[in-house]
Amino acid sequence: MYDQILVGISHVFQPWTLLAVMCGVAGGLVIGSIPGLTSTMAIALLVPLTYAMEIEFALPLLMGVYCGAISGGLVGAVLLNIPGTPASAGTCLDGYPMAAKGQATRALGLAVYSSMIGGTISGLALVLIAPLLAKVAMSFGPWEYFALVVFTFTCISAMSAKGRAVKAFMAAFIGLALALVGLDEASGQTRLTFGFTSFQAGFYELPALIGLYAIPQLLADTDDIGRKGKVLKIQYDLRIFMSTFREVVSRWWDLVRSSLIGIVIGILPGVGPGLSNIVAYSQAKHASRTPEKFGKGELAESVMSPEAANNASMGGALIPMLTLGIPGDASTLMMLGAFMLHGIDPGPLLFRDHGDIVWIVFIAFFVAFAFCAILYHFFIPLTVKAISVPRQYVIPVLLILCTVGCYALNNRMFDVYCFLGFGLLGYLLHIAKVPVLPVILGLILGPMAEEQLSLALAFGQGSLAPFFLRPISGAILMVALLSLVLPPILGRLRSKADIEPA
Amino acid sequence: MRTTDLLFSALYLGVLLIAFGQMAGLNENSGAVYTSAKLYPTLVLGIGLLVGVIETTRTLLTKLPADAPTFSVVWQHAFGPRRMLLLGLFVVYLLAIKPVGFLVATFVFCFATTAALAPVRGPRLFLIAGVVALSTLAVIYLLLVVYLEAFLP
Repeated sequence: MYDQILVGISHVFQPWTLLAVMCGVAGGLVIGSIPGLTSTMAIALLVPLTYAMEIEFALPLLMGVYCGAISGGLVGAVLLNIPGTPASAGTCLDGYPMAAKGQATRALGLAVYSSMIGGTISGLALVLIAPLLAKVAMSFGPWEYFALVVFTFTCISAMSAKGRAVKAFMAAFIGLALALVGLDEASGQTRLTFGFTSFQAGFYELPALIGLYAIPQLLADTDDIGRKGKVLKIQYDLRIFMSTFREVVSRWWDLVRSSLIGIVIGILPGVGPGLSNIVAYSQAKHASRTPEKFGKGELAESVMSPEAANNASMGGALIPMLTLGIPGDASTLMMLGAFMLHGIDPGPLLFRDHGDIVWIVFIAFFVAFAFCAILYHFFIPLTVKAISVPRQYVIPVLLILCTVGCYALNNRMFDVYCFLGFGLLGYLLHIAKVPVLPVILGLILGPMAEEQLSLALAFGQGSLAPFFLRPISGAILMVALLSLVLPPILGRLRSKADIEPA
Repeated sequence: MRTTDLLFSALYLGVLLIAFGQMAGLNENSGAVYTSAKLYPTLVLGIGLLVGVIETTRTLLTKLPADAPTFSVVWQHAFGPRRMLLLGLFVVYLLAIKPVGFLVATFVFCFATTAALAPVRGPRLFLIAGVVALSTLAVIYLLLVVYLEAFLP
C-alpha cells in the first residue's frame, strides 16, 4: 500500500498537476458562487474536456473543481441570501442575517473554515473507510451487487420530497429503459433501436448526464435575468477573516457532529450535500442551549454546521462511488463518468488493480481542500463579483461549452444531438417535478443490474433464493424494503401523534 | 399540478407500452440456460408499467393541496418566453453548425442569445456581447485545437 501512496503523491505533487488542482479549485469557487450553477454543472463542463488528458492529471483537476464548486456556494448564501449551490441552502438561514448585521467577514470566515475542516474530516473518513469497504466488497457476488442497485433506487425514492417517491421510481425506470437501447451482447440482438443504426451502440453516458442536468438548469436560470438580488456590501478584512479560525476550532464538537452527519448522508446513494447541510443545521439547533437564537445570525455554530456537513458529504459520497461503483450524489455521478471516460470502472477491483489511481484521488482531495483554504483568503472579493455577473452572459457560454464537450468525446454530432434530446427529457421531468438523478442512475446502473442478475440466475441455477438467503444480499434487500415501507408508516404515526394530544 | 402529473404519467405509460411492444419481437435465444434476452427488459418494463399505474391511481385518488399551482400556471412558467427563446436559439444553433460551420454559428449564437436575453438593450450590451462571443471562441479554440489537439464540431 505504501508504494501506492508514494506513487499517488508523486503524481499529484507534480508542478503542473498542482497548478491544475489550483486552477480547478479557483474555477470551481467562481462557478459555485454563481447562484444556479452547481458543482454538478462545473464538473459536467470539464469532464468531456479531460478525455485527452492523462488520468493522473485529469482526476486531480476534477477533484479541484469538485471541492471548489461545493465550497463556492457559501458566498452567495452569506451575501445574497441565495445559495450558490443547494449544498449551501442551510447557510442562508444564519449566514445572511449575520452578514446583514455588519459581520459579513465573520460569517464568511466561519463558513470557510468549517467547510475546510468538514472536508478534511470527510477526507480522513474516505481514506479509512473506502479501502475497508472495498475489501468487504471483494467478497460480493452478483446477488449483492444486484441488491445494492435495488437499494440505491429505494433509497432515492425514500429520500424524495413528500408525494414524489413513486415519481422517483418512475424516473429510475425511465433510466433503466433507456439503458436497454442498443445491442444486447449476450444474444446479439438489438433492442429499442426503432431501426436507427445510430442507436445500436446505445447512449453514451456523458452527453446524457450533461444534457439532463445542464439544459433544464440553464433554461430555468433565464428566469433570473434582470432580477437584481441585493448583494450585501462587505469590507473584507483578512485579519478579521483569519481570527474566526479560533472561534471555529473552539466549537469542535459542532464540527465533528456536523461532519459525521455529512459523511453518513454522503454515503447514502442519491443524496448528498443538498440534504446534509439542512439536517446538520436542524441537529445543531436541536443540540443548542439557545435554539431561539438560531435564524438570527448570532451563533457561530448555526453558520458552521451546514457548511461543515456539506463539505463532509463530499468524502462520504466518494466512498460508494470508488468502492462499489455506485455514486453518492450527482457530482460523484459526473466523477464516475470521468472514470468511465478513461476506461476505468470504479468498484472493489479498482483498489486491487489501480491502487495508485485511488490514492491519487485521496491525495488530490486533501490538496484541493488545502488550495481551497488558501485561495478563499484572497478570492472573497472575486467571488463577490462573480455572484453579480448577469446571467445573459453566462448562459450561452455554458451551453456552447457543453456542446463542445459532448462533441469532443467522440468527434461526432450524434452525441451533441443526444445531449439536446436528453436535455429536452430533463426539461420535461423538470416541468413535472420528477427528480432527474434516478434517470441517470438507471442509465448507468442498468447494464450492471442486467449483468449481475444474469450471473446470479446462472450461478444459482435459476433460483431467486440466494438473493434472500445470502446474509449480505438479504440484509441489503431487507434495508431496501424497510426504506420503502417505514417512511409512510412513521409519517402516519407522527401525524396521528400530532392530532391525539390536542 | 394534477393535470401535469397525469399528462406525465400518460406519456410515461405510453412510451413504456411501445417499448414493451418492441420487446415482443426479440428472440428467446441466449447462451445462458436460466436467462434470456427478454428476461431483464421484460422485468424492467413490466415493473416500470406497474409503477406507472400505481402513480396514476395515486394521483387520481390523492386530494389536491389548496396551494397547488394550477395547470395553466405551471405551463405558462415552463413555456415562458425567455426559456423558449433560449431553447429555440439553441436548437437552431445546433442545426446550423454543420451547414454554416462551428466558428460562425457559435459567434452568432453567443452574440444573438446574449443580446436577446438581456432585459435592456443598448450599444454597451452589444459591445459586451461581441467581446463575450469572441472570448468564448478564443478560449475554445485555444483549449480544444491548440492544447488538446482535438477537432471542432
